[in-house]
Amino acid sequence: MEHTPILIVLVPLTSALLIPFLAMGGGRFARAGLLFATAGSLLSSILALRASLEGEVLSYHVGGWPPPWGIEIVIDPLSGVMATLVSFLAVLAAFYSGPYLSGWTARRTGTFCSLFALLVTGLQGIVVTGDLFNLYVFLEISSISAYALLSSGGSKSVVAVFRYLLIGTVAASFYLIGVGYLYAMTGTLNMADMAARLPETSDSPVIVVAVSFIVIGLAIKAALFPLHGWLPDTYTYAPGPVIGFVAAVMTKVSAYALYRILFYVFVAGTGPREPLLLLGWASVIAVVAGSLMALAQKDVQRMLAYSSIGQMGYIMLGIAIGTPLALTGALLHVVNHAVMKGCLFMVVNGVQWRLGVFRVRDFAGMGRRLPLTMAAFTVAALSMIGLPPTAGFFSKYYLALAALESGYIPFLAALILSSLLGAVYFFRVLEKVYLSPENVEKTRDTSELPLPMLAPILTLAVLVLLLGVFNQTVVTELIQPGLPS
Amino acid sequence: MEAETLSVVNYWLAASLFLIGLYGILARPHLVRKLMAMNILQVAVIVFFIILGYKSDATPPIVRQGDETPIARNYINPLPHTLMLTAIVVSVSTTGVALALLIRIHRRFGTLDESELIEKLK
Amino acid sequence: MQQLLQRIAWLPFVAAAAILFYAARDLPTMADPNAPASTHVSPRYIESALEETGASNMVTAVLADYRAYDTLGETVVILTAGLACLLVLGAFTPARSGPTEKEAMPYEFGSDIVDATSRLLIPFIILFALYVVVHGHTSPGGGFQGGAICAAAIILVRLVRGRAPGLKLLPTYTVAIGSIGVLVYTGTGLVSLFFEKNFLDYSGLPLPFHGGHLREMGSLSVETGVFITVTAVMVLIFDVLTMGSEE
Repeated sequence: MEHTPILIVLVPLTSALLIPFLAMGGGRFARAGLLFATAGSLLSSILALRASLEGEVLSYHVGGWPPPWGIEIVIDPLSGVMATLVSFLAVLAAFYSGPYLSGWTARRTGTFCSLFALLVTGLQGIVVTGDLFNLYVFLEISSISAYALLSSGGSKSVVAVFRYLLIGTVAASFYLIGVGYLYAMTGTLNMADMAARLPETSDSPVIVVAVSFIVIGLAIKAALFPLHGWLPDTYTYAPGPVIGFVAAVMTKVSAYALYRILFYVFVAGTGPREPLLLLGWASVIAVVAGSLMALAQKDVQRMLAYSSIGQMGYIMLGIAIGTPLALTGALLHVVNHAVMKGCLFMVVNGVQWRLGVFRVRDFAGMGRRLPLTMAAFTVAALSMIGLPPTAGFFSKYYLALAALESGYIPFLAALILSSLLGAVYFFRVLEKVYLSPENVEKTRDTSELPLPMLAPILTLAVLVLLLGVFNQTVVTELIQPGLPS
Repeated sequence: MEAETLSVVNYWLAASLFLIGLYGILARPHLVRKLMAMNILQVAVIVFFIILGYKSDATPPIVRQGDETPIARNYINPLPHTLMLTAIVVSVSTTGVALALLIRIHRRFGTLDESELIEKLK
Repeated sequence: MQQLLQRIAWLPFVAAAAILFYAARDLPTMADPNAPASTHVSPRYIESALEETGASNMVTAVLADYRAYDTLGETVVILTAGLACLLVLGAFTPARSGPTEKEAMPYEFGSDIVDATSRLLIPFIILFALYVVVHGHTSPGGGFQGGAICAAAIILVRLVRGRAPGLKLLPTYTVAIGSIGVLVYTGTGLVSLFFEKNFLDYSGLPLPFHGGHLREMGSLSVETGVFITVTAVMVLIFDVLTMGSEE
């Protein structure tokens, strides 16, 4: 039991190492290995989360060295919730990838599954670590595996991913040089230790520079407008099972890292508001620009990609306002958006996998053809727009309340405007789905998606409703214990 | 030269390398050059950390024979060196993956020039 | 839009330049032994590494023991890169669509002189690689350096002799060997887990040593894992980049 914090990372890691050997017996074994990896990580995350909710922060000293000399793994309610979220979506994506991988050779399947498990390892490592440099190492594990997975979607995706690789490496270098400045000023890399030592030097301009570099680096990774350049192409051409997972959690994990560093290392809640306000304005632009650009897209997957940029704006906006109410909204939106965007991307990729279509007008009449899938799509889309009682309504509600309470009226206006725009571009699709006649040729196989694909989609759709209906419980039991005291 | 000036010059050198890398990535049209610029950017970070680890009148961080009680003042700081060993490895790995992607791109499109590539993607 | 972005591309550049040069003046003076970086965490590494970890090379002590978890991550990064190259280029079996020796290595490189010289050199290079790994505790060196040297020797064979007569390490095997290397690393950590110590706490290893010596054995085992992974993956990446594809 005392080792659960490390198992969150170790189970997917060890499985990833064994998958190449399992693949020698056939692709099925590799997929089973991936399922084991993600499920094991989920189980450890839930156990760790439960322990942390009972009031104690789990601190695990890797190698038996006490921090700040050794590396510390920290499970508080916040990282517990994030770890559970990441591994839960990973389990669903592992199921979802089954039909997609069925035509592949065993070795290629093995490589794919191994990299997927390493991606989960990297993200979980970022979530649970309490050390700034360790975060960089796991950031790179997740990035490199994501580059490879995202580029397996055809030659266009390779070009997009190369650009992502360059930008992602610049982001990581920005982060690392920020950490270097902090190390120069404090002599430590442990987050808690640094938080204790920073007040001695907080007047120095070096700290301001360090913060800007770290924020810029992680904002690039989180695709905050105008640093989002890598996202649309990468998401549009990415293969299905990967994008369902990556779009759902990868940018969120970066946003989580940013939140953790800002509020647990720099203790931004107590300092001056102005630097955060800058982030706030950037987020407002992101919210509006993302929605406007989503409106202009003909390709559904690209539309979802731009919508993600807008939604990341919401999360950053909550972090920038920085009051407990706003942070509640931001964290709730991290969970909600992961669930609904995961669902939407899985639906769209399922349609593309089954019917080979991806434009908005090709979705005509899809409601009769794939009724269950489209029902899930509708639920998730309504939640993206923010209609009660779906999950999306409540996180937006908290964010709007926080903006109102702190007197940032332009922020509130942006939230409302983007919700309206969201309604326009999602109803454009829904109108095609339910009200237009079918226009795909009859010869194609038009039955529902296979169960391994349908089950994760429906699970996420139901979860969207559950998160909405029981949102009060979620907020008081899971989100609020994770706020900085 | 006095220590203050020397110190600032050193930091500026690392900063200049960083900027050369950033400029290359932003402005050069050829993908291989962008990749080289990316490597320069990573080297800049490595140089910066190594500067942080240096101490005047100190030896490399290996305990000298016969030194029973090593004192921190006599050895340079080993931590930045360790961290940069990791960063070097990350840099090598990223370059490997980037080269693999470039080979895929070149096989498919026959060019590595960004504007030509954008033209072919349309 | 694209043109606009290109036209303002110098803006972030200038901003980064300004803040980088500005902040340099306020950083601690270089080489100052009283700077925070030299006085807070690092003194313990310098003063107790030999006693606590048995390694007189403090970099190795920090790398393989105090911050061994980072090094695990770093080894995983290498393996990830190898797997990534495999997935991107899809090179697996030269037998299937069979690039011949010529195609696999399109540039004529070998000659009798090069061949004879490399035959003389390669055993010593590999021996030196092993020396660098084993002596990483008392002198500069370690698993990464040794692995890179050993991989250089194998790549030299590839360059001089072409693929077919060289060491027949197909990507399928090298990726498996790379995984075994990381498994050695995590395995070392997991053993101490079973002896009721934390992950990678070498003092839990069931070996007939005590204190620093025991930890030294632990880090040696870890370094061996790193050596295996680095050698295998470097060869793997070289092979994948120079081979034809599966498709």
